[in-house]
Amino acid sequence: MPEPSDPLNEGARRPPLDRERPLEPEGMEAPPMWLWVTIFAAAFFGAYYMGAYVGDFSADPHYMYRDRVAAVADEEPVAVDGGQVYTQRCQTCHQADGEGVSGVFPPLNRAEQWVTGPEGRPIRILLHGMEGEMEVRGNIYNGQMPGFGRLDDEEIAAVLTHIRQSWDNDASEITADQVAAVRDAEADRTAPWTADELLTEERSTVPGFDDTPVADE
Amino acid sequence: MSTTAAASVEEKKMRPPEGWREEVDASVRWPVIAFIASGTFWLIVGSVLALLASFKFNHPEWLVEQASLTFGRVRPAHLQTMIFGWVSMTGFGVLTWLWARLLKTKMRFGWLQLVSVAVWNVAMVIGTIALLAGFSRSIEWVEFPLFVYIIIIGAIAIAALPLFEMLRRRRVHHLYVSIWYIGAALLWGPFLLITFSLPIYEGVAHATANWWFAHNILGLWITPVGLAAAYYFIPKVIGRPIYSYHLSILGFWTLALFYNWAGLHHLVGGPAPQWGVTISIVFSVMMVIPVVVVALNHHMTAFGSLKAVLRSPTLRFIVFGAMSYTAVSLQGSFMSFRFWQEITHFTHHTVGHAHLGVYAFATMVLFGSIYYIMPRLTQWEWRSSRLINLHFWTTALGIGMYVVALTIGGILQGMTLLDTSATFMEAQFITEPWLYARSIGGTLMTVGHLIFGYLLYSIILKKGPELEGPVYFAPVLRSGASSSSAS
Ligand code: HEC
Repeated sequence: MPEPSDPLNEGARRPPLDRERPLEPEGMEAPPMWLWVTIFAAAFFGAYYMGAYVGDFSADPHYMYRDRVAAVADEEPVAVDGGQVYTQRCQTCHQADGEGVSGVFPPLNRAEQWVTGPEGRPIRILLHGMEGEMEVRGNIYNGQMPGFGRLDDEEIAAVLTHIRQSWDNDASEITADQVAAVRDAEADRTAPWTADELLTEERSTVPGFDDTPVADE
Repeated sequence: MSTTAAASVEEKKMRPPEGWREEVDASVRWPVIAFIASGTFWLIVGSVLALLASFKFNHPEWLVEQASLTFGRVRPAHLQTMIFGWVSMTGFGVLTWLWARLLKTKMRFGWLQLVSVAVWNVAMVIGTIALLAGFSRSIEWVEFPLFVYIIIIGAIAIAALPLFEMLRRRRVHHLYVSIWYIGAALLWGPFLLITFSLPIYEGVAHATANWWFAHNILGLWITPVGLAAAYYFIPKVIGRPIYSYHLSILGFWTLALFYNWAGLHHLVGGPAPQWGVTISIVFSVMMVIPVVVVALNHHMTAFGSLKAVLRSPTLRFIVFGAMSYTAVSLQGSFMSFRFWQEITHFTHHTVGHAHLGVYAFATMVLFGSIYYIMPRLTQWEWRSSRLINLHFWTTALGIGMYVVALTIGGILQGMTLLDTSATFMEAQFITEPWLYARSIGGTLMTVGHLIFGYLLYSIILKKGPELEGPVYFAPVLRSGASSSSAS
């Protein structure tokens, strides 16, 4: 059945202005009942929500979350995840498997003198970085290891413990107190370390922790 | 003299003469074309900027050598060219035409609008270059340097002068609902710009004013023009009256009352006082009322005219836009809730929502309006219904993909961000496929914009074959029984 009148076809083939019909005045239908119900439901909900969450008109943005803010303040600090620090900070150079990049970034796995050696060395490397020639697993590297002194003691301890106990490595844990002790003792140091410096006894130990450095070589 | 006689004299003076449409359309021809063409230019500039920004999500290392092409500059430049170039300028052209048609009076001092277009374009050029050169105010939605907004406010004021003059000389008694929306937007838009340009905010108050402004530019400047166009074209093309005058009134005044309060829901979880945020959530929910009212009014008008919607380019775009308005508004009411924002805040989800509003609603309605207006202004038909069809499907599918991808991708991103065992990067990687889909959608839309730009160029310069009769998606029936009965 054709539509009673099809405005789109009116005056077809005539220029645009001649094929328009006037805009008709609006109809006068009354709003349906369900619309009023919706409107009042929305208004009721609004009033309820306002009452429930108006927060006493307090200017404190945490007003409604004071318990939660307090709870967070009381919480035991979460242990830092060394593996996560490693993925974020070290993995790009030393790789996920700890094998480094041949000739450029030395391996951390089985790097006996450095990673799993006396605690003082890796701590110092992390705090201030390292540069110049060094030997790892029989290969010579000569690059620049950035310092990570801006990480806090917990983070440095966690990532060092992580690399000392990952892959084939199995050495003792490093604690935040040890990191703090070295940071304290080397407070004046800004330049990166060199291999020669770190291989001395003085730079291998953690002051106040370890008086019997492990013999190297 | 009796009062009735006076009234009828008055009425006679009011009645527009025969052929008023030709007269009225001729008077607004060049200003409206200038606004629409400029807006379309900015649409294409904005699309290129958008694609740059979008591709950077897929290939972060792409085009990073020049500071001017980095994400932090391209993205605000995209936003500003789209809002103050495309939507605002084209919107001004469309509202000027609607205004003239609905007041049935011709525009005097049309040259003022041409001056306005020129000034406005200069402001846009300066602003865009400034953003790319690094002079951003870093305030979302108002990144241009301050003086650019002052020029734009001036341009709007100049362009509005002839419109107010027309209101004085109107040849109608009853002001149609579209006139209310446009008139209100002409007051609200500059008011928003002026108020937020004042140097009186600091800190949390600044953030609060910022979101009040940004949300209202959408709700009280862009939305009213879109609704005015939908209110005009749906009944006009279908040939049936708007369902209910009462609903029109209800929809207008509830929008006017509620929208203004909603902006602060952008600061959920931020440092603003709780009660302010709560009030904005309440009014975001109350926005359901004007939205349902308008949807009902439009739906009841278009109901049963599916054929016309499928055949007429104007209607197809506008009905798509009107449906998107309902969708985006209801989604927005829901998104204002705190429990939901815990997931979606600061994710791509919000970006999807913004495009559902500014694109799927406002932009599609503008396209539809232009398909109706231009043949009247130029006395020339669109060159090809195929191309219009292609324009519709590229943009409709493009925005569809875009919104679906970011809506889902954003939720996944938000849930991963909340998961304390996941790293920040995991929350980024999970969005990868969705961001590819976004780029594909954006590319489709841009193709559509180029087609539209070509069609617009052709009709303004009267290129292409001289066609007889309207360009519809289906062939026009030869004047048969149905058409001879009318007119
Ligand atoms: C920018 C690349 C880079 C990053 C990031 C980096 N390193 Fe290094 N690292 C090096 C280089 C290069 C050397 C060798 C320095 C030299 O040749 O003097 C090195 C050496 C080392 C050494 C001593 C040599 C070895 O193989 O045992 C350790 C231990 C070490 N890095 C641990 C770390 C840890 C832990 C992190 C993360 C917190 C890290 N590095 C991040 C480049 C990097």
